[in-house]
Amino acid sequence: MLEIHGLRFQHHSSARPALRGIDLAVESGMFLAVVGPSGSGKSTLLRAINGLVPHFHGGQFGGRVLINGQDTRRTSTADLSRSVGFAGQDPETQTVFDTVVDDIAFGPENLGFNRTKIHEHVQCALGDMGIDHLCERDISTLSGGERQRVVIAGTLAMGSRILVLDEPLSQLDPWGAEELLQTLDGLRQHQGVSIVVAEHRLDNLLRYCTHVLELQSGTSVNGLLRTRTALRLLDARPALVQLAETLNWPELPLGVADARELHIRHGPVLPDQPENEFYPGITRISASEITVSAGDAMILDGVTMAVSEASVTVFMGRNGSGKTTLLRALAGLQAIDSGSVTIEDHAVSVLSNRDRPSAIGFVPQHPASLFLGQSVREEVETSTSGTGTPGRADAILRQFRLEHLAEHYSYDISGGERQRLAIAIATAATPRVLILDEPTRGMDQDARDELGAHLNELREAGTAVVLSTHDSELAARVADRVLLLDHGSVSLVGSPAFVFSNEPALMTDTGLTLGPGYLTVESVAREVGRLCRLRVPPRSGTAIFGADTGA
Amino acid sequence: MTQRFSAPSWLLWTISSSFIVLVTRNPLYLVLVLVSVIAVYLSLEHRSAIALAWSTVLRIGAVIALISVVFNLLTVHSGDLQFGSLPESLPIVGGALTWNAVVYGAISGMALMCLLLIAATLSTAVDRGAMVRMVPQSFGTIGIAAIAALSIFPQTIQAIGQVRESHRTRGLQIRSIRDLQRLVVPVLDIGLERAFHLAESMESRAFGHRASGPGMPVWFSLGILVLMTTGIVTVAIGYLLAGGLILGCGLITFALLARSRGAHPISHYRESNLARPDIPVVASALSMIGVTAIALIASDDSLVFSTYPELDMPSFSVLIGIACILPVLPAILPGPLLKAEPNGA
Repeated sequence: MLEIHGLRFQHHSSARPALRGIDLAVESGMFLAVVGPSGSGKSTLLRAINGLVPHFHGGQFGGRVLINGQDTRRTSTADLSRSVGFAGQDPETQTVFDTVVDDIAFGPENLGFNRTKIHEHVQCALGDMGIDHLCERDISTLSGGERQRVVIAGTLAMGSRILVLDEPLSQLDPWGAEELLQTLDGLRQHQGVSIVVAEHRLDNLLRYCTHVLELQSGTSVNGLLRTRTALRLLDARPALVQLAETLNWPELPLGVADARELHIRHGPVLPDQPENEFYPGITRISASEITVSAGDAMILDGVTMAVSEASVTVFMGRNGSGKTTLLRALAGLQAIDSGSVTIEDHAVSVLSNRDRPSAIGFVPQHPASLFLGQSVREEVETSTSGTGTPGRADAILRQFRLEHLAEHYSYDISGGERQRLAIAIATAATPRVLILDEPTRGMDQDARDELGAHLNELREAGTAVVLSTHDSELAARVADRVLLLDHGSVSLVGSPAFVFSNEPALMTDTGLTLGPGYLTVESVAREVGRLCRLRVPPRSGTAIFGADTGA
Repeated sequence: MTQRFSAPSWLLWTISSSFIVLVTRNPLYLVLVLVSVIAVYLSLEHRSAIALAWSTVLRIGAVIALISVVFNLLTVHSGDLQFGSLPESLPIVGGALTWNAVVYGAISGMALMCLLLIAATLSTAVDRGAMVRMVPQSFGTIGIAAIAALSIFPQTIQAIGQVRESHRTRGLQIRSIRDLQRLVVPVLDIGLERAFHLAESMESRAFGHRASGPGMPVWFSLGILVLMTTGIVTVAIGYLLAGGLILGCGLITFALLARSRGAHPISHYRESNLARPDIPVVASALSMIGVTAIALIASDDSLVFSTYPELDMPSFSVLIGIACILPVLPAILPGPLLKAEPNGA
């Protein structure tokens, strides 16, 4: 179905090749996950499959890519689209029409389907992506995650035999991500559709995919592997694999069901953990009864909340639940219909331009809008210029692993690097409140781990951190409090363990395996380490202290 | 998008309204067209992103119109109604200040605002989908460029908002011309990047797909476009016969080629054909074009107006005056909103 032979590619503007000698064969009904760190060539490989590389991007192309025997070098992307459906990373830039249903129908229209068939495909795609209710909505009014669903629905509606999706889960909430993976799995199993997905969020994905290809610096690390085999070799290890290694299980689990079985067979049963109490300190920023509407739609409906110093608060919830609007309101960027937002007893809206950077740092969903079109170093220096700390820019560049990019133009760096630069800019003036809107979007595992560590450092330094994310692992690692939003209202507030227990779709894989007392592998490792220090040997299937966790 | 009339009738309304504005400088006619178009513009919903973007453009247009009055006043020193003067020693701006220059600048500004409002009305009334569907598939490549161009505009306006907001969070302000670079460079970068990704997405979603008819070669599409633009400009500057001939040739060539190459036309999810509610709008648009064309052929003096050397009251033809208020029809016509339904839905 899809064959790649010795694929090499180098962008005109790049000094080194993006892909180096990739060989791959994807059969009908295969679900392939392409994994690897940012900049490893995943997106380029995906674009080579549908002919965007080289037709659209230009550059030096070597080797061959064959789609059902058709050489992509001799067939245009538009013509290949009958066989290959493609959805790119950024949903903001991929919609052509103004309304949801029109946009989904765009591909089938171009393929010349008759109207009845277009209607069937559109309805099917809307249903598969769970967006029937958005059918006639203006796309500009949708949240990032809702747009992502629309873009993927547009690809599904084309009915291609090969689906190529670049980071399709990056903006989806856990419910949406699971639904998409189930839909893709259904297409694979029942219709023999081949699926190729590049993704950083591996925890759920690996349960569904049949094969894995890991890329590093444009090269395939171990070739095409079956998923179970790949688990042992992956550089970016999913949480459950790390858990298995921490607990010395003889096998690696592919999903939570596997992990639970391994836990029952091999233990150890860990003692219940008392829930961490969070004692809020002095309130740094607060919202009181804020209401935001857009036309007839209520975006925020009387939200009241407060964030104290030296704490991390995470907003979670479905796509379109109002997370971004609430963050923007806290940052003083969103006009509110009623209510108030105050920072240290002053209205956010009256902050002067001079005082703002040291009061609130804000990282928007589109980090590039923070840039001024300078070199990476200059971008950071502009933000540190008011701090009166010489050499701070260099320290920040090192801290965010950006020193090797210091002289690069800020718009020329990759998505994950842009995200790191945006956070570096926002924290450069040491703000008392840091607000981040989905900061892990496009980040690989290493970058996410570093972000988690950095947020913890900021908390230790007294900063009040507020962020929105769909990444439960990150929330579990850093959050003192999770605030769950639902249709513009706060539906749950509490510790990650409390909120995740009440909303199981948010629960981490580790938590689902071992119970809400252990949300992260780190917490398990800490406990195992503690038990080892106490010289209490963990025993299979036996509680060491206290009762069974019931996992 | 929910709209009162079909996309083709809005397109015809745009062509006819623009035609009158392009062929006359009579302020009385321009005022009538301006008022009519404002009425239509205000009768539309302005919630979409593109409508909001256009409102920004209209504000910018109003500023440019005002600047054109001041510019004309300071650079043109002729006319019989002088109300002041600047020292002759001042280069360019030195000399008499006249009401003739003010009125001429105001007329130019009014024409500019008319055209911007017509464009804003079309963009607000007809969604991008309907416009894209009006691009013949044979013009595949140009279609992508056109859609990218249509998109880059609201996206650029959106990008300006995002960048200014982000600058605010960084405590940055635009204080001088040099600071403008900090706004312009990111806006261009973001706008171009988005347009690039959109074009990539359109290719990936089969736009210009061969099964829908072999694409017309780009050079040929461009050739026809140039021919038709030349025809319109020739008509607009008064060479009606020559312009009409050029336009006709362009249209016939295009129709023949599109017919021969479009053996497998693409299907459309929503129909956007002319329907009964469109009849008054189409009829009025054709009347506007007809009346204006006849007045042009007959060299009607009332179409021509100059404030130099003497500022006189412009002449007025009732028939042309009526044609100038016909654009208001979409605002006053009653009837339920027309919603294009997908076939088979």
